[in-house]
Amino acid sequence: MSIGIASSYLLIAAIITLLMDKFATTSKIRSLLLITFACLLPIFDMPAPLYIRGAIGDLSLVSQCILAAYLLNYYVVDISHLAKTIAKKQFAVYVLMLALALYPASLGLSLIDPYEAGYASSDWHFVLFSAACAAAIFFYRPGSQLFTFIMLASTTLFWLNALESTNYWDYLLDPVITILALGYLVVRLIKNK
Amino acid sequence: MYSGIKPLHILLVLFVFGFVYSSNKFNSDIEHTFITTEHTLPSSAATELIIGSVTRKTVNRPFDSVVHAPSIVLSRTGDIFATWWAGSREGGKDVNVYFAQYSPGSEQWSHRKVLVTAKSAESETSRYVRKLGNSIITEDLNGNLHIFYVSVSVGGWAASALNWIKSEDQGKTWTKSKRLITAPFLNLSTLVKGAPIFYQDGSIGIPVYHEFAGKLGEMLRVSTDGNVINKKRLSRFRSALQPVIHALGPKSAKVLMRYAGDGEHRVLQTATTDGGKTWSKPSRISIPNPNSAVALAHHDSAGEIGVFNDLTSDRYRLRLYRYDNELNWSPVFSFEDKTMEQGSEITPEIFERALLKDLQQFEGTQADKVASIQQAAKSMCTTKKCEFQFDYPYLIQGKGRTYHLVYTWNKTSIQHITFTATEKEQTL
Repeated sequence: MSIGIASSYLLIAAIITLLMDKFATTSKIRSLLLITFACLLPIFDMPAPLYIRGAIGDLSLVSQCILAAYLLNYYVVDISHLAKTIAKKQFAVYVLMLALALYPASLGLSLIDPYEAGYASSDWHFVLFSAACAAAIFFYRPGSQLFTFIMLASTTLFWLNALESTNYWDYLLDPVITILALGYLVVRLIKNK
Repeated sequence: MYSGIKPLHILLVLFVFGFVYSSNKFNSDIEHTFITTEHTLPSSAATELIIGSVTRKTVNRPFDSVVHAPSIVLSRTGDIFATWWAGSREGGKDVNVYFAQYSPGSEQWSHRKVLVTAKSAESETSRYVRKLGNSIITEDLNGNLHIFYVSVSVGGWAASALNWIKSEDQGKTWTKSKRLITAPFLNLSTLVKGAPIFYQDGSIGIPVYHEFAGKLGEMLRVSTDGNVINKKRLSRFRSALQPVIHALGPKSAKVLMRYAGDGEHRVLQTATTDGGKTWSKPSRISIPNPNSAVALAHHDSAGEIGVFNDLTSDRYRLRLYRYDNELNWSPVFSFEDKTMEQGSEITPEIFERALLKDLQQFEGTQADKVASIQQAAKSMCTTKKCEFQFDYPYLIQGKGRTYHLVYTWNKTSIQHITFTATEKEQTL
């Protein structure tokens, strides 16, 4: 079984943590208990995360790392120094650039399909690798190393075929991380006004 | 801003990316070469193609309310295997993927066997599955059977995903279903219909289609252990569905597609001369298409033959065509034709009488025939009028010039026609 199945559990855990943190003044233990119930309690023979998995599939490794980092930061140890605000903004822009390059064209709005470049057999595979490599180097500096780690981890796990997908795009990008990046930039923009 | 970056760290990052990139490339250098059947150049239109030894059998037994999308493969042992879906209605939760076997010398197809249910797909792929759809079956170069089937978790057919199962013992046992990831946006919208081909390295080329933001034909290349190797878009035409492929040579292939747009309703065609790396701009061929599936198969001397609903609307005729060296498609034989009945309203009495007459050509018991007519009337008639529907042809070449065609007969049964297609010898 691929490690992609973890993504739906991570997503539920992150959503509950965020909601409990923002709207309910409750202890972390209670949040953890709620997460445990939500992840394990079957609804019509199946736990809730598997419905999410049915609907949205497995999240990219980038998404999974970010969700895991968020939960780690909230429940276990403060790692905020590894991803400062400026780096988060830059990474969100990077994600949106990738999404713009991929989604409109691959969904049939263009004559070319950039999704093909994600397969190792593609002649254009090096372009995607280069973009990820450049991002990993760009983010390798104090306050943003987390993103270098994420790019390296995603790339290494692609090599190990860790997800069901054999396409590199699916390790870097998914609609959830795209929405998160867009939401983050919009919130920052509003706050800065 | 960049004061923290040290050359050693950059080298480390470059090393990881370089290592992963080269490892992947090393393992995935692929030959773009098709496996083809030897054949001569297509003969001229003047040479007549004779259709003979036509036998008709019903594949699905017992009957279900609705059946659709059959697919068959001739195995190296001589057995024929078929898959299709059936249930109470299209898109119903009770739709299952079925499997049946026909052994040489046997009188009829085996009783159908449930291969995949929405529930089994759900537990095997560890995710919610709401309904099942089209499936195709093929046999790889090592004699293993592969089935690719469509499932949907949320939404309609445009939200379909592909799944794969494999049998190493001629269909007695099957692996668990594996989800194939074939699209970037929530893995939405990859469906199957056409017969696969094979590449020299043994990998499987599946003509698939996408129908989310646009309707596009695609070629999906999958290894025999169910890993997607690559995917290539076949059409820039946004109204092309259900591609079928015929490998003409090691590097060349032709694809025909169902036309799902407005305007001129004709079958679409695209071709490659570089093993599928690039495909020509789709064009329309002479055969009309009422937005319905087409079938294509190799013919040793005629070049290729195909089966079409050669109408601009409705699906009451299913006809065999041949392609000749004058680049023309010409009709050869009608497997189903209800053109005569179209002039006036088709009442349930006319409908049932016509089907009863047709079914006399089919092998099978009288009880089965009556049951299938009753079911067809339920599916295809309102209280006052009915329509005939013969669609979703799937054509394969058997031994020599023997062919096997399966198709959906009035949404009620899967019919299997065996025929020979030989050229009449010319006398000077």
